[in-house]
Amino acid sequence: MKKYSDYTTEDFITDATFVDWVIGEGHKDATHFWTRWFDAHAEQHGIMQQAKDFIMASRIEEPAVSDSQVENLIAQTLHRIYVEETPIAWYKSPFWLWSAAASVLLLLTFGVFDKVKQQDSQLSIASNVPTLLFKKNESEQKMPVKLPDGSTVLLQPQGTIRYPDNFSETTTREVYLEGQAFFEVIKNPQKPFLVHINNVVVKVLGTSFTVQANNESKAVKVIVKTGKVMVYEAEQDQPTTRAMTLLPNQQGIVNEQHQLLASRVSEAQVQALTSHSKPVLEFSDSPVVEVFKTLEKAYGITIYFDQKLLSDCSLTTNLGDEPLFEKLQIICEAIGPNTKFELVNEKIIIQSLGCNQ
Amino acid sequence: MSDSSLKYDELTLWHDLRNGNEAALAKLLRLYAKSLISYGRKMVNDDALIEDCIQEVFIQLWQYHHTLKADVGSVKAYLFAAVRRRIIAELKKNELLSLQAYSSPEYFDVVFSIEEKIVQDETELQRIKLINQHLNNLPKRQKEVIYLKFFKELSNQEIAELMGVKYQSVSNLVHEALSLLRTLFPDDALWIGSLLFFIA
Repeated sequence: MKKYSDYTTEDFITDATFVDWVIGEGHKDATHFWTRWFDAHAEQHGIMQQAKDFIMASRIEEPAVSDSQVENLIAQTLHRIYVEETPIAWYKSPFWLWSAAASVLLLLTFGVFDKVKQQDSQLSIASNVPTLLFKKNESEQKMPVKLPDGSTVLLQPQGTIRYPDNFSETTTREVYLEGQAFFEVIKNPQKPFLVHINNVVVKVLGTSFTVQANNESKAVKVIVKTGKVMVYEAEQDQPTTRAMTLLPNQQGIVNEQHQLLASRVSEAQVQALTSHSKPVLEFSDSPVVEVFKTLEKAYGITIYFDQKLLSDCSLTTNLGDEPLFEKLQIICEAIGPNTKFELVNEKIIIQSLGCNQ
Repeated sequence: MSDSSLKYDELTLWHDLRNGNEAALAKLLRLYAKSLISYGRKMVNDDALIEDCIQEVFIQLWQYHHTLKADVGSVKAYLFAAVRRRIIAELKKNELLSLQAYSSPEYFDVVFSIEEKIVQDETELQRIKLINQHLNNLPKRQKEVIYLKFFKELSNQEIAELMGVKYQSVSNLVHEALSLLRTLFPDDALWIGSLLFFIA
């Protein structure tokens, strides 16, 4: 870096702190760095005054570009990249068979919610009927999905998930999965969380686990990281005839022969298949950039944030087994009131004006 | 100043982008979006067109990421140049359609204004008005150099690359634009006494 004593007029004009001193009336503050510098360096008065004159004579009045305009631009650009990369000729796509299967399942699930709707309409006229949302991960990375109760789903490539836009009118929280996903479920004993996959139901109260369906065979695999889950086959008439309960570091398989098999798995394997997030992530005056990087690594995801803007921010917090989105919420609140996270086109984007703003 | 760390960041992002990292593309866009939009606004008063041009540039970067040069020099200058080219191409296309060609091929323009709030007295105001007039009467090309240098923090080298001129002509243009300052205020100031009001 150039020394201030070697500064030319140009250097002063391009130094943001000097411009602030001139425009922000810092020169009226006797304790300001540049005021003190000015007092101590008579030999530079000429060029400092030149720079000050130039700065005062060359303001540009323009409306600021808003953060939301920038985020929109990024989201649109990524969306166009995504659309332009998606093959248009559906019959050339290896997934068309799969899509046909998906639409059958969609019909089935609509049937389920039709029933809910009918029951509800008898109870209340102003019904808040859930609309079923559908997400398919066509990317190569895990897709973060935020459920209406704040629970987190990390959907693996080629996986799909269907879920209602709200859980307020139903007694359970039910989602429909194909492929593989890692769930972190918000605790709510009053509303059990159910994952439907093939013909298997995974029921939890609040926990984290991975569910995986094998495409060729009909086997379903569940790996538990925290909490307790129950796995059973959804047989049309008699729901929970046989069920198995899984604890952390256990894996359950429902195979094609309708057998329920439970076994222990090593912690390393569990981490590889769920998340590397530790039971407690401790941050003590850690740079925010590092905190985000830790989360990126733990979950194998990408968090989009302005490294420059947040480079001076740090925070102290403990993160436990709360879902990813709750962790992000906690971090954003710790950074400051003008920081929040958003999911734009399935990407986690941190919007911030910097810390303590 | 975080200038060197920023440079490091943009080169890391550039490297990641070349390796097909989509996140790096988004981060580069976030890093320069505001700068690029406000620069675009000096060429055309149409944010939709500007954003479209920026999108096109970044989509092409993504599509051709494996062919990008490793030694890009300045990523910032590269992006400014690409967006500038694209906007000018769009404007030319529209002109052809509307048959309303401008006499000047220069698209860039900016009006410099005076920060009157903090003017101390009449002598200072006179001086600043003179400088302001001088700046606003500069040829558009020279104004663009001033704008990129002092408002977009680009180096002379970067401006030369961006505008497709020689390094020497950029520094000449900057020097010329600042020359009035030197005639109004020689470096070996005899007027130190008059500065007391400035810090009072």
